[in-house]
Order: sequence, then C-alpha cells, then structure tokens
Amino acid sequence: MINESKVKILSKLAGFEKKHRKTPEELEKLTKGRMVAHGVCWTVIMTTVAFLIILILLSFYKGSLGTNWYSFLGGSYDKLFRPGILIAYAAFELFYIVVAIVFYSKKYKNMKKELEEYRRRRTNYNDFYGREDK
Amino acid sequence: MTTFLLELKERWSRLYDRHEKKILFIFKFAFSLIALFLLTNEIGFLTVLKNPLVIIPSAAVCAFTPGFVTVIVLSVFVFMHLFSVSLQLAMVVMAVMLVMYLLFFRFCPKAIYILLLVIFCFCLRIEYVLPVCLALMLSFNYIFAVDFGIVLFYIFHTIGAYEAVLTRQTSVDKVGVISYLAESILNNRAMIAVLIGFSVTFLLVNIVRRLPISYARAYSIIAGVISQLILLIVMDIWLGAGLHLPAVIAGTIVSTGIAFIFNVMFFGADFTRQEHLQFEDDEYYYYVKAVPKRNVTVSDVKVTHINAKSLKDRGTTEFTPVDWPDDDNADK
Repeated sequence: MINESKVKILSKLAGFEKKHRKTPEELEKLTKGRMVAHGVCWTVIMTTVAFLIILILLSFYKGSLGTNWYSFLGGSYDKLFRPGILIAYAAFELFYIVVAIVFYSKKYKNMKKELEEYRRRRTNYNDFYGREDK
Repeated sequence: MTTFLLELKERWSRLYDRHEKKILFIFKFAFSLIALFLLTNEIGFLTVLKNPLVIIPSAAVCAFTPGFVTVIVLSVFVFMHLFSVSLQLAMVVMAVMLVMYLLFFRFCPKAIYILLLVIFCFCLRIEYVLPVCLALMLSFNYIFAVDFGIVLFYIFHTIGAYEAVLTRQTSVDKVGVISYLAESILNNRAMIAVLIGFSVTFLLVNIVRRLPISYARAYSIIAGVISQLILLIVMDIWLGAGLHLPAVIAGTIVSTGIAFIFNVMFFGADFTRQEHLQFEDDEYYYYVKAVPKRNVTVSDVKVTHINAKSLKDRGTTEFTPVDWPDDDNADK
C-alpha cells in the first residue's frame, strides 16, 4: 500500500534537488555575494561577445562586406577603441551589470526560501517516517 | 456561459491529469510539425529539407525530447535553408539569434517558447490575437520575447520575399544583397508599426491588470483592445505601413473574445462576493479584501446498464420466484 503523504513529501524533496543540481549542504554555504559575483562575471563575458557581434553586424549593414574585418578597420585595431564605441560599450555593460545584480539577487533570495522549505519538509519526513525507513 | 467555461476547464484538467504524457506528446508533435512546415513555407530554399520524409521524423524527435531540442532543431533547419543560399546570410541570421540569446534568453530561458509562439502566430496570420492574451498571462519582461519574435519573423519573411533575387546572385553580389536586405528589414514600416503597437498594448494590459481594483483584468482587456486598434490604425496612416486593416480589426475582435474566455477560465474571481475585512495584531492594522475564486465541481456521472435477459431467452414466460432459505434453516 503506497503511503500518499510520504510520496508527496519525497517528490517535493526530489524536485528541489533536481532543480538546483547541488546538495543542500553546498547551497547552504553559497553566499549572496558569491552567487551575484559569479553571475555578473558571466554576464560581462556574454554581453561583451554580444557587443562585438553587434559591431560586426553593423559593419555588414553599412555595406562593408567583401572586405575582411581587419581591412575594414583600416589595417589597425585602433578603430575599435574610438571614444564613441568605448562609451557605448561602457553604457551597455553598466546596464547589464545592474540587470545581472538584480536578477541574481532575486535568484539567491528565492533559492534561500526554497532551501528553508526543503529543510522543513526533510525534518517532517525524518520525524514521521525516519524510523520506518530504518 | 461562465459555468459552462468553468466546467469545461475542470473536465480538461481531469483529462490532462489522466492522459498527461499522451497529450504532451501529441501537442509537441503537432506544434513541431506545423512549425517546420511554416518555416519551410517562408524560407524553404533547401529542397531536401522540404521533403515531408525529413520534416515528419524531425517533428517526431521533437515530440520525444525535451523542449530545448525543438529550439535546436528549428535553428538547424533555419541555418541549413539559409546556408544553401549564402554562408554570409546564414551567419548573419545566426548572429542575430545568438545576440538575442546572450542579451535576454539566458536570463529567461522559458521565453524562447513565447518567441516561437509569436513566429507561429505571424506565419498563420493570426498575430493580432497575441498582445492582449499574452499580456494577461505573462509578466513585463516577456515583452522582449514578443518583440524579438516579431523581428525574427520579419527577417524570415523579407528573406523569403527576396528568394528569387538571392538564388540568382553570384557570391560577390550576394554580399551587397545582404546589406540591401538588412536595410529593407530595418526600414520595414509594417514591422515598426506592429512592434510599437504590440509593445504599448502589452505594457498597458500588464499595468492595468495589476491595479488593486475590482475587475482589473476585464478593464485591462478593454484598454488593451482599444489601444491596439487605435495604435495600429494610427501607425498605418502615419507611417504608411500597409497593414491589412480588416485583418487588424477582425483579429482584435477575436482576441477580445479569447482574452475574456481566458480570464473566466484561468483567473476566475467572483467580485460579487468579495469581503472587506479589518483586524489588528500587536504590530499592524490589517485592511484586507478577500475575493473568492469561482469554482465549479463537475459531477462524475456513471451510467450502469443493467442487461436484463428477456423472458423469452430464459425459456419461460412466467416470472420464477427465487427460493429464499427459511429463517429456520438459515441457522442450521
């Protein structure tokens, strides 16, 4: 005979473990600063790649196809470091850093709430069914 | 009508609970199949990939695998079709899709399905249903998925329209044609009109439905429908977008109906029975408005057929009483 409430608790515990792909002990040790910093680093890398792709696409739009990228820059990479492009890059990165900080802070807060819920269910499970399993 | 819709929702929920895997499989297969056929219809340059013997197994693969595989299969189809025309064209379109992923979809992976839905509706020419219905269910950030979907659709549509030009050009000329295509897409007035109209409608519906007033969702639908109509008509006149106005009006009317049906089925709150409560504890005074949900229970009607044999089949025309044991005998 299947114990319905036991199965429900176990399913929710399994759901949490599958979602986060880390043990609850590892998640306990994770601090907000570390999670946000990790997220911001990846965001800076991805948005830099995206910015470079956008620059290349803009060069296509301006009809510079047929020349390779280096010739388009006039045989020098200095063109990439013009003030206009640097200011645009800085503004672009600043915006996405703010977005990343907000996003990962919220993600950390939700993760902590779910971890508390997980701990509570785990304690309930051990109290009710711990002896049975042994 | 409300009761009918709520009962329908209850029946569908039960049906889904019982046959979840089969329903999901059929839905994913049908969606992938139609999406691949629509994609082939728009940018079907590569003959091999237009063959149903390639499309149907691909849709079957999408049905058996997780959702992200559908996205990968569709991206591969797009790349292969465009690669058959020009490597540069394929790389440009893939670069645009990569930028969309890096800037938005990595934060919100589930929004990719909204992007697919938007392209799907545009290909089926039922796009005007989208802004109000999606805004009722989704949060603000999904507006980017809607906008990216619109941009991608117009990219595919423009490339499909220039198919004859692209297939005739030499590899050197194609480079210039890509510039010309980029210009056509960015200056596409219909795309600009639809982008502005849909974005403003989406934001407006989202803002109004979150207001702390009764019937906020109903007001948001009305506001969204009116704003969509006015904006698209104004954009059409001002920009000369060339939108098909009867389709705009018909689509908007249909979206109103669908939005109200969604509202009743999925967000049913009975404002006629709302209660205002007031209480306090040591820290706060509470002023609470409680609005009960509309719920309908569907009765499980089971009809049992009692198959009585006819008296002729029993070989007698008279009723034969059953011999019940005597009370005296029963004890023995």
